[in-house]
Amino acid sequence: MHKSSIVGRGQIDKIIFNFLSYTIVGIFALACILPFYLVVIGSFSDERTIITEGYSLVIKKFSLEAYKLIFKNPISIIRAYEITIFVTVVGTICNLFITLMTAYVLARKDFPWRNGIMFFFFFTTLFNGGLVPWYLLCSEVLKFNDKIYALILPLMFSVWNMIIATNYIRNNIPFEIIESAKIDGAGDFTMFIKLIVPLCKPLTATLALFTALAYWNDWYNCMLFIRNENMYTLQYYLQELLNSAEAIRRIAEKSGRIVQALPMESTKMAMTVIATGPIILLYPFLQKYFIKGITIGALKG
Amino acid sequence: MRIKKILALVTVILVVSSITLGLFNWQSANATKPNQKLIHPTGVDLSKPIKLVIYMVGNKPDDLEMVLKEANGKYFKPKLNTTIEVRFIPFADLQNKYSLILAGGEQCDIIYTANWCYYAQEAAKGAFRELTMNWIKKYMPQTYKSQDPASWEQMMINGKIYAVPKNSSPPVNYKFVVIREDLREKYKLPKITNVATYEKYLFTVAQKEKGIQALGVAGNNWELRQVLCKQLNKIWNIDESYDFYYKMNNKPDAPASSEIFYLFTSPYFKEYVKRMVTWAAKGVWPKNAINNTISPSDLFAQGRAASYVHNFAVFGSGKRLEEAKLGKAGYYDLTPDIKFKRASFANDAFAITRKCQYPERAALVLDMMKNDKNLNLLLIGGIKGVHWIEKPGNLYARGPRADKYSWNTWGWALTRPDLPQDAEASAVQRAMEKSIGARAIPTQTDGFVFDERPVKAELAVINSLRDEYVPALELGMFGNKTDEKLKEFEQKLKKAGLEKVLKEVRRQFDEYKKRKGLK
Amino acid sequence: MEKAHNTFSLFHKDRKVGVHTFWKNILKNKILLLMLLPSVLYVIIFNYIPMGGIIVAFKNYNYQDGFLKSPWVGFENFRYLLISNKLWLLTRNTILYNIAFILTGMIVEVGIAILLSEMSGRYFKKICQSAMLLPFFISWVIVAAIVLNIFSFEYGVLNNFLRSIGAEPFDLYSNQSIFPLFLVLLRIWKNTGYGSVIYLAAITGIDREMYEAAEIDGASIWQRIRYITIPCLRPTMVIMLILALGQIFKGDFGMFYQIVKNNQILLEVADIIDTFVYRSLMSSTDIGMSAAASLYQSVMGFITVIIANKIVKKVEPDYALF
Repeated sequence: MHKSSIVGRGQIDKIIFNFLSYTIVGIFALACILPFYLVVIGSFSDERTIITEGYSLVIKKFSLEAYKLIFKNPISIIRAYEITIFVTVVGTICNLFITLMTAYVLARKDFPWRNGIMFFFFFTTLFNGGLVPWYLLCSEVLKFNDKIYALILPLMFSVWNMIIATNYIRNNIPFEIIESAKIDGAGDFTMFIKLIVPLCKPLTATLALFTALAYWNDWYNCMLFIRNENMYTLQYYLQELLNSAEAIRRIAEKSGRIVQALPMESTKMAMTVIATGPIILLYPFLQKYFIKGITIGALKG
Repeated sequence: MRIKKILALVTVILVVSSITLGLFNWQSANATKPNQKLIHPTGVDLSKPIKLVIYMVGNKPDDLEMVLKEANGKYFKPKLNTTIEVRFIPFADLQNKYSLILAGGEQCDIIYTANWCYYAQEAAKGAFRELTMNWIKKYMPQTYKSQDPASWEQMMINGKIYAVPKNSSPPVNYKFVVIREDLREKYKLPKITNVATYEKYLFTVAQKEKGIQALGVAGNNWELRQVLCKQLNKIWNIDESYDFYYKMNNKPDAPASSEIFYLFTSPYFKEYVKRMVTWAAKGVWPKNAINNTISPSDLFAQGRAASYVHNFAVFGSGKRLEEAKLGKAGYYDLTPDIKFKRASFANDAFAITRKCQYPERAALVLDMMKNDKNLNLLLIGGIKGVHWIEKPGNLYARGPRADKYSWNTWGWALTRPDLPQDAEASAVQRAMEKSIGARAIPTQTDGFVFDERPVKAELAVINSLRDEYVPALELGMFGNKTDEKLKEFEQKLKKAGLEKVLKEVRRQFDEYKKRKGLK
Repeated sequence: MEKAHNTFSLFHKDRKVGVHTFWKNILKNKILLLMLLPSVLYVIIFNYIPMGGIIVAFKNYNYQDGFLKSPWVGFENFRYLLISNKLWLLTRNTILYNIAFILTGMIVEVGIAILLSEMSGRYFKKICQSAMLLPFFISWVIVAAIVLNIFSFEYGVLNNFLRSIGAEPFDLYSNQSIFPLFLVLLRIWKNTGYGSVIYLAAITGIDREMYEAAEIDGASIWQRIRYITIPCLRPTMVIMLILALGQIFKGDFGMFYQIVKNNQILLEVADIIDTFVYRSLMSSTDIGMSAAASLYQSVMGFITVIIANKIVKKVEPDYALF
């Protein structure tokens, strides 16, 4: 092989590749930022500008009405943040533990019933009995009403994530490693904690992100089970605010009465901003796990 | 490393504070003293203190607790040895949550219901307690006396009553228009008295005013349909919740069942659609109005639309427009002479649930809420002098805390005919209310309620077709293809079994007439 | 490159299990079984017990009799789907959109993940990655409003621009041929950031040694992608495909409902099972009829997955789900 010529070609390739990747990724990222930017601008704009002129790139008439509406009860929103953060942190940790543990067992080639059990799990992603029986079970038997665990339990295990994790472990962790650990006398659980979890950092980061997002965005379980306003999650709290703005109009039309109107459009946007902020700040912390690769080969020896 | 430590610390603090907040916050002490033997005049034993939970639709007013404290302290507790708690289901969660609350085991003694709020379906599923006239007479004596007889009929499903309707039905089903008076004057247009003058106004604005749409519409055009199809032709629904109509012609008489027709295959609708095609062609509303989600009232109040159609709520948007100094509002009735069917009492009602343990007590509570005038006013308007101020001539004005408890935001089913009117209403509004109120007449069809169960599969498909075709048709989106589309729509309806449903409506109507002794 | 194959061939050996008896197996795997216990219990409680609710699809449910004793009505609850004369069209639309979403989604997600993983600029990479996640947070309601703001015929930004340069305005909302494509683009825009994370993690998990060896062998960047990255992503892609196929009869209601609304012109090309069911049962709380529709979607999805998994098992036994 003529090494020198190949290196030269490799560099040209690299330049072409970099040009292409920077352009494509840059344009795509811009397409993602722009609408969000419009939302941020909209949230600081006067309601009338949004209705008469639509979304714009600059704030035409500055207004804090939407944020004033959202923060009219600062204590409530702080409480909502606390509840949401608590639920997200505890829920994500529990979910990751159960999900990874299950995935590890099902990824073990020497586990005899793995196909059957995998099917047993997978089946639940296809069929469900509908909302009413599930609700009755949770509220009657498990007494979910106004309990903090009503916000944690429903999302504490995800079959989808478990399948993704199983697949990851199967494909990225050579079975030799498990076997050699076994020969060294490591127990199944110890092996999971000491060997598999550290080797699965990128996977754990991915699942942590997905699970945290699911908990963070969950308003549905709060809508179903929580009556106590002091236990509202952030998303449901914001949604309730929007609901009440919408309700005012509905009531006006229903009773034919005059009522004060709230800034609906800008509030919708301020809600998005407020609910997005923290998680977008968190994501960069997780990203390092996607960037640093791991060298499994080193462990094989 | 340091960041990690800080993060861990923050997490711990948050976790601990959340737990403490969570754990200690929802213990409401409900200590009540034992009472001596207490018997209500109706014979209900009141000795046991109980709490009833009432579920309403909408959002909780900020000052609800304050109002309920007064209502419990002054009325329910001393007179009935009962306290009430009111909970809310937001409009947005209604479809999900309503039947879950009824299906689940949590306490819910009284619930708001209505012909538009799943009354018939939930009653059919056995969610509500059946109320016989004798039972009502015994436990709701005042209601029995004061309630309009037609209102009971409107609640009947197969001859059985499952809810207590309101006792007054303001004509919210009648629509009129609001326009920009300043624009009308600018172009020296005549006052709006009929469709032709309204049309002229809209066409002029559409042609000459840039950056403003002539008519505010969002997703459909049903308000205008009410005026141009229903009111103009003097046709009215045989049952408010369904699209089956008859020619009312200003008269209270019941039609022959064969005269009942389906609105969207009728010549009235076709004629209206054709008019809408010309309006759309003139640019009265934007081409993509069907995908618009900003409500017409906001469009008008913010100066984006030069007109919109609705009920008395238009006065609110007009006021907002004028307060923002964007223009002057003018209110016009396009059909000032017609008489029409008053709105159904079943639009708002209270049901006692099947799982309510003290139905008699619930009945007494309802009876008192509806008939004790002071309590009624307290629940509807809040505390006198705080949330509302009494004005001479049976009027009310906004009190200092009116924002925290607006007038009648949840007590619709408690509405009485003698409720005070808004003192801040303009003379125009007052006159309009008077004129419209006087023209809403009781009719022989008032008591007819269609039971959809025998044809629910067909009706489901018909409704999906209606929501698919009608908005686009009435926004004139098909242009010169309208006839084709109308035909296509009609054929699909036919295939879905429209004939069968219509036949069922007519059969039930014949039965109704027989029961009522109408010819 | 041989190394890549080696990694997978590792899994072919050790198939000797199953010789032991059942009880011996249980004893031998007692720790593993114990580790499965939480999730198995979870799924039994939260999924399998309520799954009995499927029977309401064949019942006329009422509260007194509950799920078990309510009267049977046979296939009555399914009847509205049949008399709509639309079931085939709806099913076809739902599947075709989903296929388009799955394929384009996968290509773009994998592509972006590969580009990101090979890029050298650290901060640019991080910023772009975070930015791509933003659309995930914007609800379809707001997306619909933004879309209308851009494409509105009279007031939209795009049409104002087109008019100002003297071009014909473009009406997205009555364009039946462009609209499905637009929905696909919108979907890519909203989901790529989220979806590519899985592939990014999978790439990060690939043994670095393979790349190093390839570099020594003088492989170009394209060859590395072609012969290492993509083959290593294949099992993940297959699994994601199988998972997606199970949901192929279920449409994204939020997206279709908010973007299309009741616009009949667009509904002709964008009506899916979920929006039809919503329009039919909007004013109803009939759980029997909605259960019927979702049972139909589940059964069809189930059949699809079973077939897909069989095919995968034949072609590439290691990639199969079960």
